[in-house]
Amino acid sequence: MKARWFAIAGCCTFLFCTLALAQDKQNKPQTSSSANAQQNAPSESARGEKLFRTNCGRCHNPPESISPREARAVVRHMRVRATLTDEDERLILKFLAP
Amino acid sequence: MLQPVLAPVLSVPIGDRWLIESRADLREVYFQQGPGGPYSNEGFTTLEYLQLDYNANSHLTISAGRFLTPFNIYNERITPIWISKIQDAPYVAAIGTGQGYSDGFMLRGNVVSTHDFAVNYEGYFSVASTINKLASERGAGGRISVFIPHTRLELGTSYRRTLEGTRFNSEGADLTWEPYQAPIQIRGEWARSQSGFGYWIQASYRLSQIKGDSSLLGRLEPVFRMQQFFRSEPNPNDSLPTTNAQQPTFGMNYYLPHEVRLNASYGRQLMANTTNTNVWDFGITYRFLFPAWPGASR
Repeated sequence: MKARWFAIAGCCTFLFCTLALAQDKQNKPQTSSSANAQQNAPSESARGEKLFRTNCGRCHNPPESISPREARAVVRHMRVRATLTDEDERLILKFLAP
Repeated sequence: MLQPVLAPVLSVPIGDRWLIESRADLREVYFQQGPGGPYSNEGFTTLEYLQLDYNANSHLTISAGRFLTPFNIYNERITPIWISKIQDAPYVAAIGTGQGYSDGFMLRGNVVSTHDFAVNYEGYFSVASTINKLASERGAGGRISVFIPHTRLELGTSYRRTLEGTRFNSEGADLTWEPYQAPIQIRGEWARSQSGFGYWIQASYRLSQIKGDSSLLGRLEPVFRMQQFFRSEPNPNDSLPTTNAQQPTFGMNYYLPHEVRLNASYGRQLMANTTNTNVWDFGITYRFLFPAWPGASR
Protein backbone atom coordinates (compact mmCIF):
# COMPACT_ATOMS: atom_id res chain seq x y z
CA MET A 1 0.00 0.00 0.00
CA LYS A 2 2.78 2.38 1.04
CA ALA A 3 4.79 1.68 -2.10
CA ARG A 4 1.74 2.21 -4.29
CA TRP A 5 1.15 5.72 -2.96
CA PHE A 6 4.83 6.55 -3.30
CA ALA A 7 4.63 5.42 -6.92
CA ILE A 8 1.49 7.52 -7.60
CA ALA A 9 3.08 10.60 -6.02
CA GLY A 10 6.29 10.07 -7.99
CA CYS A 11 4.48 9.58 -11.31
CA CYS A 12 2.35 12.71 -10.87
CA THR A 13 5.40 14.81 -10.00
CA PHE A 14 7.33 13.42 -12.97
CA LEU A 15 4.40 14.13 -15.29
CA PHE A 16 4.15 17.74 -14.06
CA CYS A 17 7.86 18.35 -14.65
CA THR A 18 7.94 16.70 -18.08
CA LEU A 19 4.93 18.62 -19.40
CA ALA A 20 6.12 21.95 -18.09
CA LEU A 21 9.71 21.63 -19.25
CA ALA A 22 8.59 20.43 -22.70
CA GLN A 23 6.35 23.50 -22.96
CA ASP A 24 9.26 25.73 -21.96
CA LYS A 25 11.41 24.44 -24.82
CA GLN A 26 8.75 25.57 -27.31
CA ASN A 27 8.67 29.05 -25.78
CA LYS A 28 12.41 29.49 -25.38
CA PRO A 29 13.24 31.60 -28.51
CA GLN A 30 10.74 34.26 -27.40
CA THR A 31 12.02 34.53 -23.83
CA SER A 32 15.78 34.23 -24.29
CA SER A 33 16.22 37.53 -26.17
CA SER A 34 14.63 39.61 -23.45
CA ALA A 35 16.57 37.71 -20.79
CA ASN A 36 19.85 38.41 -22.63
CA ALA A 37 19.02 42.10 -22.91
CA GLN A 38 18.52 42.28 -19.15
CA GLN A 39 21.76 40.44 -18.48
CA ASN A 40 23.71 42.91 -20.62
CA ALA A 41 22.58 45.96 -18.70
CA PRO A 42 21.06 45.01 -15.39
CA SER A 43 19.78 48.14 -13.70
CA GLU A 44 19.22 48.14 -9.95
CA SER A 45 15.51 47.72 -10.58
CA ALA A 46 16.16 44.70 -12.83
CA ARG A 47 18.46 43.21 -10.23
CA GLY A 48 15.76 43.83 -7.64
CA GLU A 49 13.21 42.11 -9.84
CA LYS A 50 15.48 39.10 -10.17
CA LEU A 51 15.97 39.00 -6.42
CA PHE A 52 12.23 39.26 -5.91
CA ARG A 53 11.68 36.30 -8.24
CA THR A 54 14.42 34.32 -6.54
CA ASN A 55 13.24 34.91 -2.99
CA CYS A 56 9.77 36.40 -2.46
CA GLY A 57 8.34 35.13 -5.77
CA ARG A 58 8.82 31.54 -4.69
CA CYS A 59 5.67 31.87 -2.56
CA HIS A 60 3.64 34.76 -3.97
CA ASN A 61 3.37 37.33 -6.76
CA PRO A 62 4.29 41.00 -6.25
CA PRO A 63 1.38 43.23 -5.20
CA GLU A 64 -0.45 44.69 -8.23
CA SER A 65 -0.05 48.27 -7.03
CA ILE A 66 2.00 49.51 -4.14
CA SER A 67 3.07 52.95 -2.93
CA PRO A 68 6.67 53.64 -1.81
CA ARG A 69 5.53 53.79 1.85
CA GLU A 70 3.78 50.45 1.58
CA ALA A 71 6.76 48.96 -0.27
CA ARG A 72 9.11 49.93 2.56
CA ALA A 73 6.92 48.16 5.13
CA VAL A 74 6.41 45.09 2.91
CA VAL A 75 10.11 44.67 2.07
CA ARG A 76 11.18 45.02 5.70
CA HIS A 77 8.66 42.29 6.55
CA MET A 78 10.03 40.10 3.74
CA ARG A 79 13.58 40.72 4.86
CA VAL A 80 12.84 38.91 8.12
CA ARG A 81 10.74 36.15 6.51
CA ALA A 82 13.15 35.38 3.66
CA THR A 83 16.42 36.17 5.54
CA LEU A 84 17.43 38.82 3.01
CA THR A 85 20.64 40.81 3.28
CA ASP A 86 20.84 44.65 3.50
CA GLU A 87 21.69 44.77 -0.23
CA ASP A 88 18.82 42.44 -1.19
CA GLU A 89 16.39 44.62 0.76
CA ARG A 90 17.62 47.78 -0.98
CA LEU A 91 17.42 46.30 -4.49
CA ILE A 92 13.98 44.74 -4.01
CA LEU A 93 12.76 48.11 -2.77
CA LYS A 94 14.14 49.68 -5.98
CA PHE A 95 12.10 47.15 -7.98
CA LEU A 96 8.83 47.60 -6.06
CA ALA A 97 9.09 51.39 -5.67
CA PRO A 98 11.59 52.71 -8.27
CA MET B 1 -19.02 23.91 7.04
CA LEU B 2 -18.52 27.54 6.06
CA GLN B 3 -15.57 29.57 7.39
CA PRO B 4 -15.18 33.27 6.57
CA VAL B 5 -11.63 34.23 7.61
CA LEU B 6 -9.95 37.58 8.02
CA ALA B 7 -6.16 37.37 8.38
CA PRO B 8 -4.76 40.89 8.91
CA VAL B 9 -0.98 41.33 8.74
CA LEU B 10 0.58 44.40 10.35
CA SER B 11 4.08 45.57 9.44
CA VAL B 12 5.50 48.68 11.12
CA PRO B 13 9.11 49.56 10.21
CA ILE B 14 10.80 51.82 12.77
CA GLY B 15 13.95 53.50 11.55
CA ASP B 16 16.37 51.47 9.46
CA ARG B 17 16.71 48.45 11.72
CA TRP B 18 13.52 47.78 13.66
CA LEU B 19 10.24 46.20 12.70
CA ILE B 20 7.05 45.34 14.57
CA GLU B 21 5.01 42.73 12.74
CA SER B 22 1.89 40.82 13.54
CA ARG B 23 -0.69 38.50 12.02
CA ALA B 24 -4.03 37.39 13.41
CA ASP B 25 -6.64 34.91 12.27
CA LEU B 26 -10.26 35.87 12.84
CA ARG B 27 -12.75 33.25 11.72
CA GLU B 28 -16.37 32.37 12.18
CA VAL B 29 -17.26 28.72 11.71
CA TYR B 30 -20.79 27.80 10.61
CA PHE B 31 -21.51 24.10 11.01
CA GLN B 32 -24.43 21.68 11.08
CA GLN B 33 -25.12 19.92 14.37
CA GLY B 34 -25.39 16.37 13.06
CA PRO B 35 -27.03 15.19 9.82
CA GLY B 36 -30.26 17.13 9.26
CA GLY B 37 -29.72 19.16 12.43
CA PRO B 38 -29.79 22.94 12.87
CA TYR B 39 -26.86 25.15 11.90
CA SER B 40 -24.76 26.84 14.54
CA ASN B 41 -21.77 29.15 14.52
CA GLU B 42 -18.75 29.87 16.66
CA GLY B 43 -16.04 32.50 16.39
CA PHE B 44 -12.29 31.97 16.88
CA THR B 45 -9.57 34.57 17.27
CA THR B 46 -5.90 33.60 17.08
CA LEU B 47 -2.90 35.85 17.44
CA GLU B 48 -0.42 34.03 15.21
CA TYR B 49 2.54 36.31 15.73
CA LEU B 50 3.35 39.63 17.33
CA GLN B 51 7.09 40.17 17.28
CA LEU B 52 9.71 42.87 17.47
CA ASP B 53 12.57 42.36 15.01
CA TYR B 54 15.98 43.97 15.08
CA ASN B 55 18.04 43.63 11.90
CA ALA B 56 21.49 43.66 13.49
CA ASN B 57 23.27 43.16 10.16
CA SER B 58 22.98 41.23 6.88
CA HIS B 59 23.50 37.95 8.70
CA LEU B 60 21.48 38.32 11.90
CA THR B 61 17.96 39.34 12.87
CA ILE B 62 16.92 39.12 16.52
CA SER B 63 13.21 38.63 17.18
CA ALA B 64 11.32 38.65 20.46
CA GLY B 65 7.67 38.11 21.27
CA ARG B 66 5.26 35.62 19.77
CA PHE B 67 6.36 34.04 16.50
CA LEU B 68 5.60 31.13 14.19
CA THR B 69 7.72 28.16 15.24
CA PRO B 70 10.36 27.64 12.54
CA PHE B 71 10.18 23.90 11.88
CA ASN B 72 10.30 22.75 8.25
CA ILE B 73 8.56 25.10 5.80
CA TYR B 74 4.82 24.73 6.21
CA ASN B 75 4.26 26.61 9.46
CA GLU B 76 6.24 29.72 8.61
CA ARG B 77 5.75 30.03 4.86
CA ILE B 78 2.63 28.28 3.69
CA THR B 79 0.05 28.98 6.41
CA PRO B 80 -1.04 32.39 4.99
CA ILE B 81 -4.36 31.73 3.27
CA TRP B 82 -3.31 33.75 0.21
CA ILE B 83 -0.24 31.53 -0.25
CA SER B 84 -1.39 27.98 0.51
CA LYS B 85 -2.46 26.20 -2.65
CA ILE B 86 -4.51 23.62 -0.75
CA GLN B 87 -6.31 25.07 2.25
CA ASP B 88 -6.08 22.01 4.52
CA ALA B 89 -2.82 21.66 6.45
CA PRO B 90 -0.88 18.43 5.93
CA TYR B 91 -0.87 15.90 8.78
CA VAL B 92 2.78 16.38 9.72
CA ALA B 93 2.42 20.17 10.04
CA ALA B 94 1.59 19.44 13.71
CA ILE B 95 5.01 17.81 14.32
CA GLY B 96 7.77 19.95 15.79
CA THR B 97 5.89 23.22 15.96
CA GLY B 98 4.55 23.04 19.52
CA GLN B 99 1.10 24.47 19.02
CA GLY B 100 2.32 26.29 15.92
CA TYR B 101 3.37 29.36 17.87
CA SER B 102 6.22 30.13 20.26
CA ASP B 103 6.64 32.86 22.88
CA GLY B 104 10.28 33.77 23.43
CA PHE B 105 13.13 34.87 21.24
CA MET B 106 14.58 33.82 17.91
CA LEU B 107 17.80 34.43 15.99
CA ARG B 108 17.68 34.10 12.21
CA GLY B 109 19.57 35.12 9.12
CA ASN B 110 22.08 33.73 6.70
CA VAL B 111 25.51 32.35 7.50
CA VAL B 112 26.66 33.03 3.98
CA SER B 113 24.88 34.42 0.94
CA THR B 114 26.55 34.43 -2.50
CA HIS B 115 25.31 34.32 -6.09
CA ASP B 116 25.75 30.55 -6.07
CA PHE B 117 24.29 29.50 -2.75
CA ALA B 118 23.03 30.69 0.62
CA VAL B 119 23.00 28.99 3.99
CA ASN B 120 20.16 30.22 6.19
CA TYR B 121 19.43 29.48 9.83
CA GLU B 122 16.77 29.98 12.49
CA GLY B 123 17.18 29.17 16.20
CA TYR B 124 14.74 29.87 19.01
CA PHE B 125 13.76 29.30 22.61
CA SER B 126 10.13 29.32 23.69
CA VAL B 127 8.70 29.54 27.19
CA ALA B 128 5.59 27.73 28.42
CA SER B 129 2.55 29.97 28.43
CA THR B 130 -1.09 29.32 29.27
CA ILE B 131 -2.19 32.93 28.82
CA ASN B 132 -5.37 33.16 26.79
CA LYS B 133 -4.54 33.76 23.08
CA LEU B 134 -0.81 33.51 23.86
CA ALA B 135 -0.47 29.81 24.67
CA SER B 136 2.82 28.12 23.80
CA GLU B 137 4.95 25.16 24.84
CA ARG B 138 8.40 25.31 26.38
CA GLY B 139 10.92 24.18 23.82
CA ALA B 140 13.95 25.01 21.76
CA GLY B 141 15.02 24.22 18.24
CA GLY B 142 15.94 25.52 14.87
CA ARG B 143 16.27 24.98 11.18
CA ILE B 144 19.18 25.22 8.79
CA SER B 145 18.82 25.26 5.02
CA VAL B 146 20.84 25.55 1.85
CA PHE B 147 19.38 27.54 -1.04
CA ILE B 148 20.73 27.49 -4.59
CA PRO B 149 19.41 30.63 -6.37
CA HIS B 150 20.27 29.47 -9.93
CA THR B 151 17.88 26.55 -9.67
CA ARG B 152 15.68 27.86 -6.84
CA LEU B 153 16.27 24.62 -5.00
CA GLU B 154 16.22 24.64 -1.21
CA LEU B 155 16.93 21.82 1.19
CA GLY B 156 16.40 22.25 4.91
CA THR B 157 16.51 20.29 8.12
CA SER B 158 14.82 21.08 11.43
CA TYR B 159 15.07 20.00 15.03
CA ARG B 160 13.04 20.72 18.15
CA ARG B 161 13.36 19.61 21.75
CA THR B 162 10.10 19.91 23.69
CA LEU B 163 11.00 20.83 27.27
CA GLU B 164 7.77 20.37 29.19
CA GLY B 165 5.89 17.27 30.32
CA THR B 166 7.46 14.26 28.66
CA ARG B 167 10.52 15.67 26.91
CA PHE B 168 11.03 14.49 23.37
CA ASN B 169 12.74 15.37 20.11
CA SER B 170 11.21 16.14 16.74
CA GLU B 171 13.18 16.06 13.51
CA GLY B 172 12.26 17.18 10.04
CA ALA B 173 13.55 17.72 6.52
CA ASP B 174 12.09 19.82 3.74
CA LEU B 175 12.58 20.48 0.06
CA THR B 176 11.36 23.19 -2.28
CA TRP B 177 12.10 23.54 -5.97
CA GLU B 178 10.76 26.22 -8.29
CA PRO B 179 12.70 25.97 -11.59
CA TYR B 180 12.96 29.18 -13.64
CA GLN B 181 12.24 27.30 -16.85
CA ALA B 182 8.63 26.55 -15.99
CA PRO B 183 5.98 27.68 -13.47
CA ILE B 184 6.24 24.46 -11.51
CA GLN B 185 6.49 24.33 -7.78
CA ILE B 186 7.52 21.21 -5.92
CA ARG B 187 7.41 21.22 -2.14
CA GLY B 188 7.68 18.52 0.44
CA GLU B 189 8.39 17.76 4.06
CA TRP B 190 9.24 14.77 6.17
CA ALA B 191 8.84 14.91 9.96
CA ARG B 192 9.19 12.54 12.89
CA SER B 193 8.41 12.68 16.61
CA GLN B 194 7.56 10.15 19.32
CA SER B 195 3.96 10.05 18.00
CA GLY B 196 4.97 8.86 14.56
CA PHE B 197 6.34 10.02 11.26
CA GLY B 198 5.05 11.12 7.90
CA TYR B 199 5.56 13.20 4.82
CA TRP B 200 3.78 15.31 2.25
CA ILE B 201 4.82 16.20 -1.25
CA GLN B 202 3.03 18.71 -3.43
CA ALA B 203 3.37 19.68 -7.07
CA SER B 204 1.65 22.57 -8.80
CA TYR B 205 1.85 23.86 -12.35
CA ARG B 206 0.45 27.20 -13.47
CA LEU B 207 -0.65 26.90 -17.10
CA SER B 208 0.77 30.34 -17.95
CA GLN B 209 3.10 28.89 -20.60
CA ILE B 210 0.19 28.27 -22.93
CA LYS B 211 -1.01 31.82 -23.69
CA GLY B 212 0.47 33.92 -20.89
CA ASP B 213 -0.55 34.24 -17.27
CA SER B 214 -3.46 36.58 -18.05
CA SER B 215 -5.16 34.24 -20.51
CA LEU B 216 -8.21 32.23 -19.63
CA LEU B 217 -6.20 29.04 -19.39
CA GLY B 218 -3.04 30.67 -18.06
CA ARG B 219 -4.80 31.66 -14.85
CA LEU B 220 -5.39 28.02 -13.99
CA GLU B 221 -3.13 26.05 -11.67
CA PRO B 222 -3.65 22.34 -10.99
CA VAL B 223 -2.18 21.05 -7.74
CA PHE B 224 -1.56 17.57 -6.42
CA ARG B 225 -0.54 16.63 -2.91
CA MET B 226 0.17 13.22 -1.46
CA GLN B 227 0.64 12.72 2.25
CA GLN B 228 1.00 9.84 4.67
CA PHE B 229 1.34 9.52 8.42
CA PHE B 230 2.40 6.43 10.36
CA ARG B 231 1.40 6.37 14.03
CA SER B 232 3.97 4.96 16.49
CA GLU B 233 2.17 5.36 19.79
CA PRO B 234 -1.17 6.85 20.87
CA ASN B 235 -1.10 10.39 22.20
CA PRO B 236 -4.44 12.14 22.79
CA ASN B 237 -2.71 15.52 23.14
CA ASP B 238 -1.23 15.78 19.66
CA SER B 239 -3.17 16.98 16.62
CA LEU B 240 -2.06 14.06 14.46
CA PRO B 241 -4.31 11.31 13.06
CA THR B 242 -5.09 8.65 15.67
CA THR B 243 -4.11 5.81 13.29
CA ASN B 244 -2.05 5.41 10.14
CA ALA B 245 -3.48 7.71 7.50
CA GLN B 246 -2.90 8.72 3.91
CA GLN B 247 -4.53 11.24 1.66
CA PRO B 248 -4.09 12.09 -2.00
CA THR B 249 -5.54 15.53 -2.81
CA PHE B 250 -6.22 17.11 -6.19
CA GLY B 251 -6.72 20.86 -6.30
CA MET B 252 -7.37 23.60 -8.82
CA ASN B 253 -6.58 27.27 -8.31
CA TYR B 254 -7.76 30.08 -10.55
CA TYR B 255 -6.04 33.46 -10.33
CA LEU B 256 -8.45 36.29 -11.11
CA PRO B 257 -7.30 39.90 -11.56
CA HIS B 258 -6.93 42.19 -8.53
CA GLU B 259 -5.42 39.57 -6.22
CA VAL B 260 -8.51 37.37 -6.11
CA ARG B 261 -8.02 33.63 -6.21
CA LEU B 262 -10.53 30.80 -6.39
CA ASN B 263 -9.52 27.39 -5.15
CA ALA B 264 -11.09 23.99 -4.98
CA SER B 265 -9.76 20.63 -3.93
CA TYR B 266 -10.81 17.05 -3.46
CA GLY B 267 -9.03 14.59 -1.23
CA ARG B 268 -9.68 11.03 -0.17
CA GLN B 269 -8.72 10.37 3.44
CA LEU B 270 -7.77 6.74 3.92
CA MET B 271 -7.37 5.82 7.58
CA ALA B 272 -6.59 2.43 9.05
CA ASN B 273 -9.46 0.86 11.05
CA THR B 274 -11.94 3.65 10.31
CA THR B 275 -14.21 4.67 7.47
CA ASN B 276 -12.56 6.42 4.55
CA THR B 277 -13.89 9.88 3.84
CA ASN B 278 -13.99 12.41 1.03
CA VAL B 279 -12.61 15.87 1.78
CA TRP B 280 -13.93 18.69 -0.39
CA ASP B 281 -12.81 22.31 -0.10
CA PHE B 282 -13.94 25.38 -1.99
CA GLY B 283 -12.51 28.80 -1.25
CA ILE B 284 -11.98 32.33 -2.40
CA THR B 285 -9.19 34.57 -1.18
CA TYR B 286 -8.68 38.28 -1.67
CA ARG B 287 -5.42 39.99 -0.73
CA PHE B 288 -5.31 43.74 -0.33
CA LEU B 289 -2.91 46.27 1.07
CA PHE B 290 -3.37 49.72 2.60
CA PRO B 291 -1.37 52.09 4.82
CA ALA B 292 -2.42 51.84 8.47
CA TRP B 293 -2.19 55.59 8.96
CA PRO B 294 -1.57 58.66 6.80
CA GLY B 295 1.94 59.94 6.31
CA ALA B 296 4.49 61.21 3.85
CA SER B 297 4.65 59.45 0.49
CA ARG B 298 8.28 58.45 1.07
